[in-house]
Amino acid sequence: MESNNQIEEKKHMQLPVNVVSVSDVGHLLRELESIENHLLQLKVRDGGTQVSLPNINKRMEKLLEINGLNILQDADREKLNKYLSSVKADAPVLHISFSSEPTPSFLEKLMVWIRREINPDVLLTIGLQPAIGAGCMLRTTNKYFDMSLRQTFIEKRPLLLEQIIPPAPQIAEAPTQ
Amino acid sequence: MTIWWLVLILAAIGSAGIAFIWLIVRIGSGGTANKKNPINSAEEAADHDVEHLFDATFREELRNRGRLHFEKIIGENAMFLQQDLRLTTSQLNEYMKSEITTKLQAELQKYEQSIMDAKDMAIESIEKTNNVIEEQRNSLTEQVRQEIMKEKQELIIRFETNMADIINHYVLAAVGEQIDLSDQLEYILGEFERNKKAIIEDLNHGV
Repeated sequence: MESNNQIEEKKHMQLPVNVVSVSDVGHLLRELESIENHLLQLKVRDGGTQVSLPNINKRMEKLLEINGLNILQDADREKLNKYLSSVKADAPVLHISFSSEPTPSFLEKLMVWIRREINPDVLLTIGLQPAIGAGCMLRTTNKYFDMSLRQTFIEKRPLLLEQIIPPAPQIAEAPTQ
Repeated sequence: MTIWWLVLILAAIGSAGIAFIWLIVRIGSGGTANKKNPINSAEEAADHDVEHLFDATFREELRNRGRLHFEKIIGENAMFLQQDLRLTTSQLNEYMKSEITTKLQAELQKYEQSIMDAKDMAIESIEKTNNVIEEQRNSLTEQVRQEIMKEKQELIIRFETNMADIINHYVLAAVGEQIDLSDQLEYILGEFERNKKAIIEDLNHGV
């Protein structure tokens, strides 16, 4: 019953595109825990003391914004905590290797597409392989996808051969009367 | 008739012979009696004047004449001998010259022949060497051509086998610095789109 509720929550909640990796989710969880502790301390504080609100990361802000949650509400925090914990535990992770370090905007666009087309909770682990040159290498749980330029060249080898080796000229047949 | 003529001729010859013999006998008997006296008188006169005729002066004169005559003969003989010697010397020179020339020509001819033989042998040897070198050159050329063709074929096979890697390496080396990840986004998304189904299946069925 509880797991069904979690699934239901997951269906309604989504990760922002700037939350890319498992470590980002871990950071969010730690930040949420810090906020929780901070608010708990505020509850037990003496009256009249100055209140300082906890600093909230941009990722957390975006997460709260797109999910319509209020960090000051206990229920929302609990809901967010469950969601992040379930994501950290169960979210599918894709390992993608590029030839160079991808920029945040690039990752953002990639994440938008992946979460829209493949899975809304998917997380990425970014790796570097300078030998790739162009394209990327994708490793899922059980499969390995070579999306590099080299693989494209291999797949289009007949086209390359056709360009390199010209086809033999066809001998024109003598006209028959 | 003929016999008579023959008898007559024989008789004439016989009579002429008898007359000749008689004449000889007659002349011989009359001459010896008349000449006995003058000969004896001449010998006596010679004996009588021999001392007067062949005295010391006359003998000296004869000796001088003999010496002169002998010297003349010696001179003439010496002259003849000198002429003969000159003639012999010139003939000897001519002979030697001709012999030496002949020998020299023969030797030169042999030498020339040996040089020609050596030249022919050298030319033959050079031709053989040239032929061998030409054959070796042809063989080497053929080997090199085959090696080049083999290497070319190997290169082509290697290129065809590793064409993707080679072109990828070339592209990366040539324009790798200019390829930005942002420019590759469309290509990467296209590849994701192409493999989307397999990725989703693996994520859904993955452990």
